[in-house]
Amino acid sequence: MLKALTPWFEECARKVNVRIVHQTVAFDQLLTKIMTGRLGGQSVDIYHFYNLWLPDFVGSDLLAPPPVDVVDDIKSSYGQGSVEGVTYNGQVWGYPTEVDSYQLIYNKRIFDEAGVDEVPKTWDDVRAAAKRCTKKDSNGKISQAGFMLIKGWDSGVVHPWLSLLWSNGGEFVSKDYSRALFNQQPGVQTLGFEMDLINDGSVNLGFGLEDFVSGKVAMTIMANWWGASLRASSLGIKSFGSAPIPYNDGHESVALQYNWLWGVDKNSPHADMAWKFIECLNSPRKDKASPMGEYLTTGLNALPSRLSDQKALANRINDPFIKPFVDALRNARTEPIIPGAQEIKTSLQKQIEAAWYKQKSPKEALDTAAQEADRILQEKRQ
Amino acid sequence: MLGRKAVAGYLFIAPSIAFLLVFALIPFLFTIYVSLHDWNMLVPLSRARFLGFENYRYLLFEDPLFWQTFRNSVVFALGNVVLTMALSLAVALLLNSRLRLRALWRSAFFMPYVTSSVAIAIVWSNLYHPTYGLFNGVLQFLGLPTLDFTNSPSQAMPSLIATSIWHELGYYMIIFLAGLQSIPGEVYDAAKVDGAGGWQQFWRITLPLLRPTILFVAVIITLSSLQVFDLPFILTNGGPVNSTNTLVLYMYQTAFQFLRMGRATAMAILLFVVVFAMTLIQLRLLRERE
Amino acid sequence: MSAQLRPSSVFLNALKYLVLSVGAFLMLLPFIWMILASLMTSAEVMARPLVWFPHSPQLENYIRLREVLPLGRMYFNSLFVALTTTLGILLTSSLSGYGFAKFQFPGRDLLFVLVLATIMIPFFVVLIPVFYIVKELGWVNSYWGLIVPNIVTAFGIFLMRQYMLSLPEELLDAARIDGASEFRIYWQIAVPLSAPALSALGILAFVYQWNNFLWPLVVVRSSDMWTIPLGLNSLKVYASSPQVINLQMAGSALAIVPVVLVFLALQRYFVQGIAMTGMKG
Repeated sequence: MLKALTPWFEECARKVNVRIVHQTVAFDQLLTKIMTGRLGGQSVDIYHFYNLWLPDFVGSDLLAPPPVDVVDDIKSSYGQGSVEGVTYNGQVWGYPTEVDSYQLIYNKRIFDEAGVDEVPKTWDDVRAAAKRCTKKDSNGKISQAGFMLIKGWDSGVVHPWLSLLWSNGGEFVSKDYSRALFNQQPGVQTLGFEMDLINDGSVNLGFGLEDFVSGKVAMTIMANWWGASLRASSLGIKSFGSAPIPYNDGHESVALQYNWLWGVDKNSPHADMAWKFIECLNSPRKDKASPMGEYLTTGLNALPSRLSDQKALANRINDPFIKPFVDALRNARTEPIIPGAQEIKTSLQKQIEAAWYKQKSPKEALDTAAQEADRILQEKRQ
Repeated sequence: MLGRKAVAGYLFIAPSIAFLLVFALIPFLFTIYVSLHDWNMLVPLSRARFLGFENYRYLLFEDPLFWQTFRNSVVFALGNVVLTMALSLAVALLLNSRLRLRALWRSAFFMPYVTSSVAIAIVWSNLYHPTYGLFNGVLQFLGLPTLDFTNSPSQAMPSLIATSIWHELGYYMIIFLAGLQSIPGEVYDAAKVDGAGGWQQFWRITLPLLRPTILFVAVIITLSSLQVFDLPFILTNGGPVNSTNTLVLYMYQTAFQFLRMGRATAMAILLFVVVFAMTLIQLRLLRERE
Repeated sequence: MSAQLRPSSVFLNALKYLVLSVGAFLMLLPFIWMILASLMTSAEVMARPLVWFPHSPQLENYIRLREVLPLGRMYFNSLFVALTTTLGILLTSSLSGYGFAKFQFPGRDLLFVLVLATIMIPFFVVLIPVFYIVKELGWVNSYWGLIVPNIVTAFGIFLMRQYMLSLPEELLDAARIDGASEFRIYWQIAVPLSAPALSALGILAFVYQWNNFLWPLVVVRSSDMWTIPLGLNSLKVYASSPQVINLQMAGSALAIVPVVLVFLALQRYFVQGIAMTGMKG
């Protein structure tokens, strides 16, 4: 995939007069690779990484703060959510690249068949629609599910749940990052909503993403990059639609977004050239899109975070499936970038799953996760 | 002064000793050292915070996940020891007779062992797939209700154990076969003369004479089960809800996803203590019998 | 004494064959399904009721695999690493085994006990420090990093020593009288005489290295250094579409079939090797 970026790498490298050597690493190896690259004194100048890792990298003195003009460019050219997404400890750390958000994704054919005429907007709507769309086989097992709860990996569980939490007026952690707030009433209600879906019999926990793609599920909450799988499915992208995150009555729909960003190593002897190179990659070409923008929207089904890119590539991201994700960016909140975020997320994921499998009540599960989170937050503050 | 032969002796063993020093003994001490600190590998070790026994205290007294993964590892080991031993012994007994196409049967049972646990885990994760897997396909074909296998917290561990048994059966079968074949035929002949039936022969002769082998196999299975990583990593990644999260898997996550080297090495030491103790106990049992 | 064929023994015999057949079938079933599924279209794999045979074998699944995985590279890496490591293990084990078995020197028994002690140190205990050492040496993501940490195994030393204890001293002494150097005696007499133990160790070591996953997972950082298990691991995509099942099966088949063929050809040695280690234990 990175092959597509190479010509632009080369172009910008020529402009800035540097030589670029790059390596692609699979996501689950990326964090370790970065961390071990540092250990042996192997110098990497530029990183492209997931913004959740900012606290660890900054805390370990891994990153160089960008020069002032770069910071200004970032603040003025990117959406609020994305700028927040690359900020930690009050400092902007690099160019946001890919931004991803979550929406309610639904299967149009199932809706038509079940007589669901309007796309559900509130939690009650979703419950009702899910019930109507569920079918069971002769052994009582759900063969077509109204709703799918994604499980098995942290973002899959926590990102949709967080979006729902915010759409219920809830908060994840306190503003000073000292304690968890997700186990308070709004959080319990949110997990309660997911439990309602399960108890209604609209959810088959044995289903995975493949089952949605093959047309066995009516609704789920997932990210825009998954569009690639839906596109490649036998049902085709036209069978699926996306809509705003369902909100609880009396609140607003809020989606979660997260970013990737380019950063520069603190010990890099070529820091300013590195920043110029990155700037070149992320700057628009003559009123058209920037190289990163081009790269992200072709085949990656990712959204460019640069505002000018969103305009320049409007026709690509205006596709009926993708457009709601882009619209959601206006009101989206960035995933909280806090120290120990990865651990807190994993712990929360396991507790939520425990509640789904009825091993604990929602309140117990969230309290346990919040205790864990508080402990980690306290520890990281030292 | 050392004779020529003594010097030669040192030279012969020198490379290995040097290696073991660098790659086994010193790392072992290093592990202990790191376990007393908080270190994320992003900073030099000299900047790691000294914690004393805090990591150990947390794992043993505060971390529910440590005990859960410990329990999971033990359950996995127990299931493996009992079932794998019973099945591999049974097959070895069946094969230990005049049989046509013996090599064929032996190959069939042994084949899974030579294959990579990663490949096996991928095949079995598809066999277990709730919607598209072969097993549920067969169940549906027979009109029976489908199972959740690796998707259910209660069924995931049995599924993991089943896959593990399938994978390793052949290896222990061979060991038992060798053990069985070392029992001289005259012993059985004498028993037949005394009027002992097949079942009695098994209990009174075969089992007792096989005891060293049985204990040996029990030791190996326990040791390797407590250290299992590949299978849960690929098949279930410890889920659902940590029901198949084993100690080594948790250690790997702690080290390479949460970047907590101190805690991960503390876990390693704790598991080492358990493994070491188990081995000593089983070796003593072995020695007593002889 | 002539054996009399009693009806019940015929029945028991038949039962034995039946149980073995069922058992063997169950053992082979995953392999069979793996091959069949690798040749199906994704629609056939997902079809319910169950489709047992592909309508027409989809060899293109294997071709598609080449686009997703660097197959040639993976095979080469696995072969190179496994072979080199095995040769290294054979060399170091026999050298040290010989030294411990056939020579007297101060501290010999203590050193041997220390070697045995390291057998008790499971790999995961030293995983992190060894990784750190490999990192400092600049060997991450290299053949050095893959091979060197595995090149000595205390178990191998133990095995070779046990076997070499039984080598006839007279032969060795005779060679010494003839003026041969100690190394030549080792190389030209002890090693050939130890062939059975060496081949047993060699086969076990090779299989273990070929299938090794955890260490390569930690050391390898880019796809051109993937061994086969690592390449397969990348097929385990979590945001997958059902299309991937038959690809995964094709990938697994490519990893498993060559090993199985080699095994079938060499089974006698495999079995001998395991039996030998079992007895020595």
